[in-house]
Amino acid sequence: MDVQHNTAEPLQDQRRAAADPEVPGADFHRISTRILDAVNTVIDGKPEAGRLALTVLLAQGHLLLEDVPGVGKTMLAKTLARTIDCTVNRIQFTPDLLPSDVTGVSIFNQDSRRFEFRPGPVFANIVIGDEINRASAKTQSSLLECMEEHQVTVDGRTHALGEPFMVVATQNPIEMEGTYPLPEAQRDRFMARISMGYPDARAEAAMLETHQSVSPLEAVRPVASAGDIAAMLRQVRGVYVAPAVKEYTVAIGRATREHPRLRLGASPRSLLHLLRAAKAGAALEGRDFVLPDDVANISDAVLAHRLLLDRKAASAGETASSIVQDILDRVPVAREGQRR
Amino acid sequence: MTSTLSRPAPPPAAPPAAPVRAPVEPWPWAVTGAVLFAVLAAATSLNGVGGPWTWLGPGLGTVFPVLLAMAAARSLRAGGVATASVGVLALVGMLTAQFLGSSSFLGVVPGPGTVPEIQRLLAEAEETVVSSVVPVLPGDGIMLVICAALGLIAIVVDLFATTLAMPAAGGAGLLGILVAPAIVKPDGVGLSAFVATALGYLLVLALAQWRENRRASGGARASSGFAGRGVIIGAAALSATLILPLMIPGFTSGAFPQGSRLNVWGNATGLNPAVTLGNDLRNPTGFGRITYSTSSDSPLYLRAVTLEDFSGRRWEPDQRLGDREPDVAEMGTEQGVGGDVPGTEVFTRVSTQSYASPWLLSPYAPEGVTGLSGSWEWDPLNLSVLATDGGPTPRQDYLVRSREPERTREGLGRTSPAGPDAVSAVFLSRPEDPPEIIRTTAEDVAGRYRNPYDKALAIQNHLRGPDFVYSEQAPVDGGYDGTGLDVMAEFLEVRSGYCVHYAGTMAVMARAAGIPSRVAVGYTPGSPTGNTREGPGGLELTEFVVDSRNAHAWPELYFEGVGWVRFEPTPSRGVVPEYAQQTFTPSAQQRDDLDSLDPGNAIPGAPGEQTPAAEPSPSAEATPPSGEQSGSRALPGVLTAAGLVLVALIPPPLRSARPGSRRRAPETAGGGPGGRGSATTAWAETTEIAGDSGAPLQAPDPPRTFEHRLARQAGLAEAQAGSMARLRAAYEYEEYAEHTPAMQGPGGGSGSTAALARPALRARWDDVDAVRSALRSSSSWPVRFRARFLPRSLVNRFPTDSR
Repeated sequence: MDVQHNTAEPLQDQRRAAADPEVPGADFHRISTRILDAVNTVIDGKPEAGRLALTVLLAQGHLLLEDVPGVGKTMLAKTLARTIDCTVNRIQFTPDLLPSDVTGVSIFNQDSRRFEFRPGPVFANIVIGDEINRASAKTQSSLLECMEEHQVTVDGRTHALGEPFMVVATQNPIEMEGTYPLPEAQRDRFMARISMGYPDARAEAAMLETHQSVSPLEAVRPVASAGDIAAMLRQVRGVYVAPAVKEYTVAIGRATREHPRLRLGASPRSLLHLLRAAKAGAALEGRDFVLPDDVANISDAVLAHRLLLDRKAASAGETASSIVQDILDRVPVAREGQRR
Repeated sequence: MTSTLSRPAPPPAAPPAAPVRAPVEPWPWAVTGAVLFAVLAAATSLNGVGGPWTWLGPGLGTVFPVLLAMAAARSLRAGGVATASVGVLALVGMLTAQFLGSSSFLGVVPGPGTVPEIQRLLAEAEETVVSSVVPVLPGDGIMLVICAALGLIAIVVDLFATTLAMPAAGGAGLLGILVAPAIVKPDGVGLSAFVATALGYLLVLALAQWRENRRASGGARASSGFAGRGVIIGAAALSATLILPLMIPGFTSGAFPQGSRLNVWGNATGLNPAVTLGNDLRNPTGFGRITYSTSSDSPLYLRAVTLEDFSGRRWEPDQRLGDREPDVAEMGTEQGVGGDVPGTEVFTRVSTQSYASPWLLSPYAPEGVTGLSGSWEWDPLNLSVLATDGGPTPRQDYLVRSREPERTREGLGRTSPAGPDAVSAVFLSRPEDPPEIIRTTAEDVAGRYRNPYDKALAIQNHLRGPDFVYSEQAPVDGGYDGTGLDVMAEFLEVRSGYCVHYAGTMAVMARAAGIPSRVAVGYTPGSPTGNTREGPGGLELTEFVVDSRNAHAWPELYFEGVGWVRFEPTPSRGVVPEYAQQTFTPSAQQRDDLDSLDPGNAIPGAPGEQTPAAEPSPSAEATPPSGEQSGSRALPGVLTAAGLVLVALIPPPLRSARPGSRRRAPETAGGGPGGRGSATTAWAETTEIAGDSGAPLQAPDPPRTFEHRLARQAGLAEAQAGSMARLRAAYEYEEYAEHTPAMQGPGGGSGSTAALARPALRARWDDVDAVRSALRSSSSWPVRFRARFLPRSLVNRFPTDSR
């Protein structure tokens, strides 16, 4: 494995003992609860954001955090990374960043007289891409190949990335000057987009209190190993999806394509993402089967950033989220009883 | 027994399996028994078609052996085709034994003489059908048809119920039994027969369903089932039958007076015009317009046919096809009437237009008819003219030369009783055992007179007396419409009817008094059009028009030396001949003066004649405030109220029956593979209750969304919200979780999927009840009222079972 454990901190022994392989279901719940608790100590008043981030991690997707500066996007990504005993790299995207700065380069070794591959920051379990829209399209697309393929190809040689692998990218939707906004095809690679939003007054006051002396991020310790996460990923993959739920998912996708106020609807890949995210959401709720509610609850996060509104809807002040809600209000929930 | 055996013995319902032969299943026999009951129940609707219960013996004798044979064949593991064949064979055998015994081998096997015998019986049945108004006499022919139909329907229903396992479809067969009575009986099928049929049908459904449940292993399937659907269908049908007549004005009167009763024999007068005459009269829109222009200066009755055959205990035209004479241009005189009858020659030109009948209309007594198209024959016995092929012949324009006999009161008064050979015996024949009332009435009315003319007058005037009320509807409502002897007896009892009853009764009573008689069917004079036509020799003919509203029947009595004389016993209809007008009592005189208006005066009010109440008839006025009329005014109101009450009462039991059947569904959350367990049923019940309370489950509602909305809307307390959450969770588990044979129930299973915890899931009806009472108490009274009497869930059902 070409993975650098550059931020590794040893797990405590008693936590390992608690992770009894015989009762993984209970373990899943315990570990996920710990991760969420840890995230919530850092990100005040945004439990849904942390939960969604964990959902995307467990669904093996990538997360796009889109919001104005200073609301804790990077903090969320960092906190999630720190709760897991795994490798985390952060890339600050700038216009002069080159693809090789992300993926790594082959360097001629004088001693061995051959080219050696030096992995870039993308070789980590969690990669935080700050302000991804500031990089050139070329650099963006090199990261996106890694996201989709879970591998890096340099000088004709392919290097696999480790598991779990998650890119958490942030971008600022306001400050557009000198940026390269992600094209639709690349936005489609992100499983979900979260807008953090401002915290409410109480949470903001609490934040001022806790962040005054020492960053709470420093106090976060890993509560799950990469192996734990890999086991959880397996469990999520095994979550049962009833045919009726698949039908419901497909119906939602079709509704976006037929919606009169959308120029671009949901892609088949996005439905795959939707169902995977729903499975992770069901597992986080302690279920081994997906409900239509799981699909509905995550639809906005998974679908909204991929939809393109037509000009009239955009000028009328509608948002992709409001259209997703409109679709959810209209697509009938399929039931097994109707199928049989 | 040893002391270690503390467990009670297993119930006998679960015997150790696997004897050499499978135990005999009682259910097919029970279903067949239910089929027998249902068919016989439906057959009770035949009670008004023939005499009461006359069908029972032959019907039971046919249906029971047929079903017994089929059930026996089935118990011997015969296949479906073999079972059906056994049923058909049994049916043929039983029909042969009952109706064709003389021409069969061994009593049950049809022999060579069977076919002509069947043809004879079928011809008899056909004649009964064509010439009679129900109730018909239960002759062999009609009984054969009834029994064959019952047997075939029993076979079909039994095959549907058992062999094909489609018991609900068997209802069509039962419906088939009801169709004939619904068409021919004046009051339709009747409530009792309908209810009996419905009960029989439900019994079949219920037993078939229980049989299916028995067969299904462990009875794991929750199903509202055949019986539930049957109840709903039945209730809907009952509601429709109750509501339809109430909602559609004129359903029982007016333009569609027969309601659901179809006139399958059409408007053509057919072989027995009396059968449809009543229908013609009750039709307020006159049809079959006929014009005639005549040289006569007195009103003309147009006569089509006479009914003189009373051998079948009812008035029928005599089918003497062989005795007819071909030359209608020069007709001879009638039998029993002298060659030179004094009278005036009358020319009448008749245009039948759309009127279609095999019988030719002519004034009495025709001497020759010219200008006819087609081939015609006349009957020397009654001077009726009939198309040779018997088919209807519209658009005739012909000239009738007739002689209007001169009748005087004095001449008639001199007649003596007719000798036995004066006329054909057919005019005197009558049943040997006439109903008592006919005999006694004839005796009371005419017994004291010796002269036949006086007797006839007495009978006529009795019928025109104040006790009798003209009504076209009363016989239909009272079920005594027709020309049968029983009808006459009933008419004398009820004293309300129309011309067919008056004429038929007078003819019967005349025969009882020894006067030869027949019933003529035709038209009253009609109304003048104001036009004239030119007749032969430049004669000016006055034109009249008649239509179906002028249809009429009147008696003709024979007097020795005089011939056939028309009487008019029907009050408020037609014209009483001068010689028949009454001079005995002042009241009768008054009546007759009013009745004997000339056609020009009488007919302008012709449309009004349909309603006796509108007619200035003293006989109608003299009638004490008729219960029928006041009753008929109150009746729609009473019926409406009763109907509304019944309709209002239907939904609650239906609604409350459903949870009952659902609760009986096996309490196995998750059921088997693919099985729908109690959780779905409980959830279905919950959503329907919520819908009834005004918070329906919308199609795009995922269960949790619905739960939260309901909790918000109804302000559910914590306990009830907990109930709701339990119901929802159990439903979700049952609906969307994986159910493989390896994963029997919560927490079980294998592989990584089972690693996640499963909630303990068991739907509880306590929770449903808790939610129901919470919703009830939180909703307003109109919502509660609607939930009880017009629940939305009657139509918007949660589809728990897609079978």
